[in-house]
Amino acid sequence: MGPPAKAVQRPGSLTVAPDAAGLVACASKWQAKGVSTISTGIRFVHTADWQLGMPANFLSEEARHRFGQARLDAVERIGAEARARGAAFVVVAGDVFEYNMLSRQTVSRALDAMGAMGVPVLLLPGNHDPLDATTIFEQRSFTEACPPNVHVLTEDGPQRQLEGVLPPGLEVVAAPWRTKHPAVNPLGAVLAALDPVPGRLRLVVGHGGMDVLGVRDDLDILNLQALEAAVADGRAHYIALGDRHSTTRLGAHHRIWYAGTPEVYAFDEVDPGNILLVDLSAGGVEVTPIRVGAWTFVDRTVSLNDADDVDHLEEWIRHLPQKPLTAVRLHVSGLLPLEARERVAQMPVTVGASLAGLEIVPEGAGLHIRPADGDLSVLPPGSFARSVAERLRDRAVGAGEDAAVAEAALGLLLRVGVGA
Amino acid sequence: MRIHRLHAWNVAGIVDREVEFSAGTTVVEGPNESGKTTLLDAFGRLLAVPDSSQAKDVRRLRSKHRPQEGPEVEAEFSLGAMRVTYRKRWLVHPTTLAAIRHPDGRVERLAGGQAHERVEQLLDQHVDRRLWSAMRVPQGTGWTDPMKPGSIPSLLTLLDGLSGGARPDNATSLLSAVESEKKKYWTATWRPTKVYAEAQEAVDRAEGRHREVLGQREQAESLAQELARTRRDLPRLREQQVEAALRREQQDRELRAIDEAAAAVRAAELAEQQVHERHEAAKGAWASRARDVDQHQKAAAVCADTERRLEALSAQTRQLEDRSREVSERLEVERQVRIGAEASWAAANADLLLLAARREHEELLGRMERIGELEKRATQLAPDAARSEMLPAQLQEAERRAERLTAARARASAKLPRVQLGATEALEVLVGGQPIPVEAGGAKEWVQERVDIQYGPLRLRVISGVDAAQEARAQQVAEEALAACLREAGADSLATLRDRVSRAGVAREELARVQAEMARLGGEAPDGIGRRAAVLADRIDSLLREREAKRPLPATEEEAQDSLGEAEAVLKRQREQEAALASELSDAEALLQTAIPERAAAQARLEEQQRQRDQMAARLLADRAAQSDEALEHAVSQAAHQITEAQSLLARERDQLSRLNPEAVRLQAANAREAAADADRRIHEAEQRYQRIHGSLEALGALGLDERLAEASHELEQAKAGLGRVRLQADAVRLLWDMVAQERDAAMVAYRKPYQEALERYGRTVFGPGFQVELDDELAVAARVDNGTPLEVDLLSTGAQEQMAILARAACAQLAGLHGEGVPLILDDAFGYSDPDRLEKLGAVLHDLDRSTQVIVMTCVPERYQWVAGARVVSVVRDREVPAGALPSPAEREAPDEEAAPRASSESSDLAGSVLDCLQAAGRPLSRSEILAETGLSEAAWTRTIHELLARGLVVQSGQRRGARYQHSA
Repeated sequence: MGPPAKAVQRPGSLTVAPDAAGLVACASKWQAKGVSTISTGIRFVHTADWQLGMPANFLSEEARHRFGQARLDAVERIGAEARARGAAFVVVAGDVFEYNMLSRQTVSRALDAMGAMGVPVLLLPGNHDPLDATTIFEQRSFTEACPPNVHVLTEDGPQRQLEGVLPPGLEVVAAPWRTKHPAVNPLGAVLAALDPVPGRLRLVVGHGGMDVLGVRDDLDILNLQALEAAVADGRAHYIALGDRHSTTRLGAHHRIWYAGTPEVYAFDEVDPGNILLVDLSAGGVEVTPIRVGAWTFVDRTVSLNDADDVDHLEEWIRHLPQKPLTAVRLHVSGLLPLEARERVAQMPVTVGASLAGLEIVPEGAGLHIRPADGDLSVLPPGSFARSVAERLRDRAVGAGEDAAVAEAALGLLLRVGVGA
Repeated sequence: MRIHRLHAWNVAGIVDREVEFSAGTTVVEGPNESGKTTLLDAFGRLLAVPDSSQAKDVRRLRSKHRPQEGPEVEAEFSLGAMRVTYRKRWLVHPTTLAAIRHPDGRVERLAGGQAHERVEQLLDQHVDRRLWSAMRVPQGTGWTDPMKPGSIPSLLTLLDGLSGGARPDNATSLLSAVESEKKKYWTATWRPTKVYAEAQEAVDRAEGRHREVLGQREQAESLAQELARTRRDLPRLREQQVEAALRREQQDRELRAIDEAAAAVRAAELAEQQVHERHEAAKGAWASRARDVDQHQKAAAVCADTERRLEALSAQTRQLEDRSREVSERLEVERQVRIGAEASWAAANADLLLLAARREHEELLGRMERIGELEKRATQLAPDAARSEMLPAQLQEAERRAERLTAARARASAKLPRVQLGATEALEVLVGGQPIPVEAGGAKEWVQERVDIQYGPLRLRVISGVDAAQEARAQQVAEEALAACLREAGADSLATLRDRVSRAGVAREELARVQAEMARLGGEAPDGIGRRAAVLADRIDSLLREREAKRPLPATEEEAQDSLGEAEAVLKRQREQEAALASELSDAEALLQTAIPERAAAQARLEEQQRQRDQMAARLLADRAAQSDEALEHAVSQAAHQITEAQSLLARERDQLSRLNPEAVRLQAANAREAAADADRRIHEAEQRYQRIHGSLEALGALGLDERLAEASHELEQAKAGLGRVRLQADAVRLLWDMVAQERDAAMVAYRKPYQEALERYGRTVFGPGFQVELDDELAVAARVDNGTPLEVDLLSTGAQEQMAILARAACAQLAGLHGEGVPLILDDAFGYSDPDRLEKLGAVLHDLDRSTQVIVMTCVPERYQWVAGARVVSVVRDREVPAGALPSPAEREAPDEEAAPRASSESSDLAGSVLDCLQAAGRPLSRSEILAETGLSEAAWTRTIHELLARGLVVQSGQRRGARYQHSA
């Protein structure tokens, strides 16, 4: 397979040239139904990392419940997008659930949402919900409530059980995780066992980190070169990946994608909140990210050194859009007068009260009090209280537990000293 | 405050006294009772007591010389920049007048209550009353009272200012504030409080919850691993199950072959058994025929025996019947003989009875006669026997009296003259006129009271003495007593009495014998015996009538008895013979009774035996007609041959079974079955285990363990963070507490320093260069330190204590005078305990002090203060009675300080105005520091101004101390 050719680039989408080998169209009941086939192209939705059942403990109690519901709402929106855009099915490339041991309520709600999607939903067990002995996919809470359109990709390799479910001419190959910590990523072995499938389209579904994307040295990491080779020699026409929560395209052929999580999950995600609408055909592949996420997680690092900085920060927070659906994590550092420092400390209940969450974490040496002249002016010059305040101020400089204690003591002194 | 002038009228002993004071030291000298102290007291009342007061302190001021006039005092003094002339009169026409000249020349004139209140106000603003009191030490003991600057607000304020605001009570208040924070986290002994403990408990709870959920999750993980193992084991177990089932089927097939062979053996064994049974049946039939023949022959023999026996029994019966008849006849004969013997015995017996009756009849008649004789004798003996009852006692009395007489006689004989008359030849003498013959060779003796012997012409009279006469009378008395006793007994002498007693005893004994015999004879009356004798006579007659007359009656009873014995012997023998025959007859009849049924039984038995014999003969005949004896013998030999054939077949079948090795095959089959069952069980157990673990995992999974674990982890993090915050706050409070305490201690040192330096400077002047002091919490001198050696104040001499007290006041006064608005130091007759050397040094101190502070000294010993350089000395004398009209009346006195004209502006009003403007502009409560910063007021001006404004109600204060805020009242 060569580089992309005749790519028809639409805004927000990527089109890949047809395979050199070409693909034979086949008439089938699917064609008769007007459903996509390899000749007309197969359209499906690639998504991953729903992480249903994830506790977002960094959010406020109220926001946590909303956030949990938002993830279910995202599933519904995926279904709506799939139906609206004529997708033949939705494939979830791992980590459908955050854990294997979830309450029946969580599982039931998730399955209800999936059942309402109206298209076949293919679920790949990932590292969060592997097919181990505790697998959620074999628990009664799942099997008894599983809607008929939901299918778990339990086989290593081609999924024979999906015959009749998916459009003809499409083979789905999966590499489900069977343990949280496999010695190697199962996708490697699955790909190695494949041969090219002339006349058919092959969707490969896998899960795991990618060697070129991070510093992870896990054994289960994927090797991009191997995936690229599989794409190049026609063993795979599209590799739908999960695990990375940011929408990411990999490889020169543009056929290897991380869909990212449909609803933001963590502050360090780059481009979350998307699903991928994939049009796969003998002529090539076109991938269109579609925004479905409603929530925003903002991670910001600020250095605060005077009251103006705090003013600006408060202003920034005030102007954040969609605050009930926005969580902010501030990495703060610097030296502030007492009053300003207190303002920062109170932000979660002042300017940040309407946010879904405002977390303030120290950055570097963190944020400390630098008593201003005005702060200490309430203490008569030369008085012992002033002396104590000055000693504490000197001691509060720098990091470490002693400094933190001194800083807290200084704050306390300034609070009680005025009234004393 | 500085006092310029005091003027008193009609106050106690003062009639009219005016004293002016210098700005430095003024020594008011005068003798006792010259009114020095009174003047000061009056000044005190002027400042403090309204003119309307009738208090005791005021009444004490009433004039001794002019009591009709009210005591009146006027003082002129400075307060800050104001000069005040103040006059009051009490008790009579109370009056208060005040003229206040302000720095700008304005004069404020007030009267009555307004004047009093205004001056009070000014004093509050300018004078620390406590300092005023402390600086005015009254006459007497007060000089040794320690000075306590710590209790004087203005001094504290001064020290606070001088030490740069390091006032330790502020430190204390801050410490209190910190302590209230501290109490949230720490106890008094620095143990964590409930808040701390609760945070820790929250962590513990969260950890417990986390551990619990984690444990469940690990259990689930463990179950998952076990489930995986079980899942892996299942295929292997299924293979084992199939193999075991195949082995079991093979063994079952072999077992079935063995079962078939065993069945063939059992059939051969059955056939053999049947042949044996037929052989036995043939043998039985042959033996049965032989038995029937034998039994018939035996029955015939038995019949013959029975016939013989029956014949013998018949002969025996007949013999017994004959014998019975013979014995019966003999028995009848013997019975008749026995009846005759019985009649002979009855006749003999009647004879014996007759003879016995006759004898008894005669005996009764004899007894009746003897009893009559005995009764007669008894009658005869009765009187003597009756006397024998009393005679022995009379004899005994007579014997006793006779003994007495004998004794009397012996005594008389011993004392009476014994006259013995012997004669060689018989002669007769007259003795007592009575002739008494005396034989030759014989002798006569007399023993009596008086003996007259006359022989011949010889008359011999023997006369006894007096004693002898008495004895003679006693003897006579005894003789008379004996005679009386004998008379009473009816005896003439003792011997007679003795004889009569003896005879009476004999009669009594005989009577007893007679009575005994009568008793022996039955004691029966003769009449009764007579009646019995008559009955016997009738009996005898009856027997005689019944008796056979011709038969001779035996002569005696012995003969009759013998005849009866013979008759009895004959009768006994006859009865024995009759009994023997009766017994023999009974035996014969018994044998006959046995023999007759036996013979009948033998007859019946014979008939039955003959019947059976005939039946056997008929049956044997019939059997032989059915199957001959030869046919039976042939059947036996044929059955024996068939047995041989059946045994041969059985041996063959057994050999066939043995070749199949059934024991080994059965063992293997059993093992195979067990192995298969084991395999089934293992697979069953594994499946059940799988289901159970799966179910457990399902159950755990349904709990949402991962969610709960995440939640528990979050709770734990939150709790730890909470604990961290509490710990940080607690540590911060502790750090702050420690620092504030350190600063407070340092502040205390800094705070005391100005006062201590002033005191030690004066002290070194008086006590030498090594002088130092130690101060207590109230800044009172606790010890004097001389060259490093502390000595407690209480241990100092009275003089030294007085000097220390004055030095302390001097130091305070100097501080107040130099750095604030001081008050005069007033010494009323002090230094009484100081030596000249110390007085000189104290003079130097006062001289130094009066540069900054007014010093007023009242003394009656002016020499004590000669060393105070530059002192103004005012002498006073005792006032005497002043005639009325010699002094101006109160009404004639001029109003105070006419010269003090009011000046244009008021500094105080300006300052107050600036503060009011500041507060009004702010529109909110301001702190002291904010007001000072805004108005630029000094600390001293602030104090005055704010007091004024608060007092006027123009400013309202909220909060206290550092929390105090001030707001315009409008």
